[in-house]
Amino acid sequence: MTSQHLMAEQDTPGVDGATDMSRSGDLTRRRSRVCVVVPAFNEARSITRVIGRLRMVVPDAHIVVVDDDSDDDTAMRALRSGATVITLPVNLGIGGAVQAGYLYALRQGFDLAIQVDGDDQHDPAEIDRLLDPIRSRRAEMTVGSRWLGRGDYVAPAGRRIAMRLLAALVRWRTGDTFTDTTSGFRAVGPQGIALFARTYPTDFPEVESLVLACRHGLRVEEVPVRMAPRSHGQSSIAGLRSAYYMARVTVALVIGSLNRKGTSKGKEAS
Amino acid sequence: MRAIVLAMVLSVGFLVVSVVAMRRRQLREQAALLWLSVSFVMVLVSATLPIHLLDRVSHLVGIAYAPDLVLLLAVLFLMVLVFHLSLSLARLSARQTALAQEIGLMTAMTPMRGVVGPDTTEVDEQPRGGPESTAPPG
Repeated sequence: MTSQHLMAEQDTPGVDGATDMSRSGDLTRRRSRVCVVVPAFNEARSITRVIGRLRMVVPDAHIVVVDDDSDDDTAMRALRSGATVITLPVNLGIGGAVQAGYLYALRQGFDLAIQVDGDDQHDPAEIDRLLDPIRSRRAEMTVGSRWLGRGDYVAPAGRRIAMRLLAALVRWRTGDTFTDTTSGFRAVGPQGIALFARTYPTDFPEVESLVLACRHGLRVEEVPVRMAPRSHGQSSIAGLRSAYYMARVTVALVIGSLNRKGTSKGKEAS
Repeated sequence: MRAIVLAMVLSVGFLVVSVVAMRRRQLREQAALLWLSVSFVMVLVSATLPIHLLDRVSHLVGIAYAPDLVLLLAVLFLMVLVFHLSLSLARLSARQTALAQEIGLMTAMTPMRGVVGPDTTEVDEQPRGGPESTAPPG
């Protein structure tokens, strides 16, 4: 899956060099330091259950909930359930919230970070499957895919078409085939933590961050996971917004392709 | 003659407004300079209405109808200005995001041992009651 992405990073020693060297031993240990990042916006109804299950399944992991300026008591419930809570003073949207989590993981020196949605869609029992490829150094980042056979997640036809389109765009940008580009159930090693703490897309970040990781030379592997349909509420992306979503992501990827061998963000040495 | 009075009133009024805003320090130097220049151009154009300066200039650049020149310059100016503001806005919101994240990290709350309350009764199977993560690591 990662054939073409061995391009080395040149000017970011923090990503490949120092970070990797200093922590390389910890990764393979069973007890490497794991941070679970849970972005949450008005998830008071599910956050307690999510954290409870996380603590049950990965008791050694450090759980940090990023409360994106919720109107309800997401933060208090998360804290009472035993999670560390980062409360953002203003609403930053999913991208800004997730990045705050990666910043935390970087500063606190975690080796592995897992991103789990606060709405109970992702099954914490799958976390080990996500971590395994990183621990065994087959990949620097894993994405949980609901389309690889496990679970019985079904999406409406329109959404399936949109996901096909996104997958095609990602294939064009990275040369790799991903089945679930919009999955927010992910894990990264030290390189990914450093990369995402520094650069993370804002509004609809899943697809873009996937491409970002590939293009920065991270080996990304998809892992089959079960996903539940949302337990309540609506996807943040529905109706007209989904058209806007597609347009935004497409533009972002096309524009991104313009500095393929450019200077600013495309740091790949070809 | 009424046209020049109207034009002068408008442009001098604009000049006064920008100077007042500058004195109150509501404008940063860069913006202040911009608006001062704009006001002066407006005053100049109004004051030279009787000698047809505008007509002559537009004739010089090959525009037959003087107001078209004004319109063209105005649209160009506004486009550049709006684009510039758009860039500033993006820069500001990137900074604001970074600041909000820093504040979030600085004010991060960690659960105290023993305070983890009734909400977690469903995870009683866990050997220890307190969270693994009482203190921030590192």
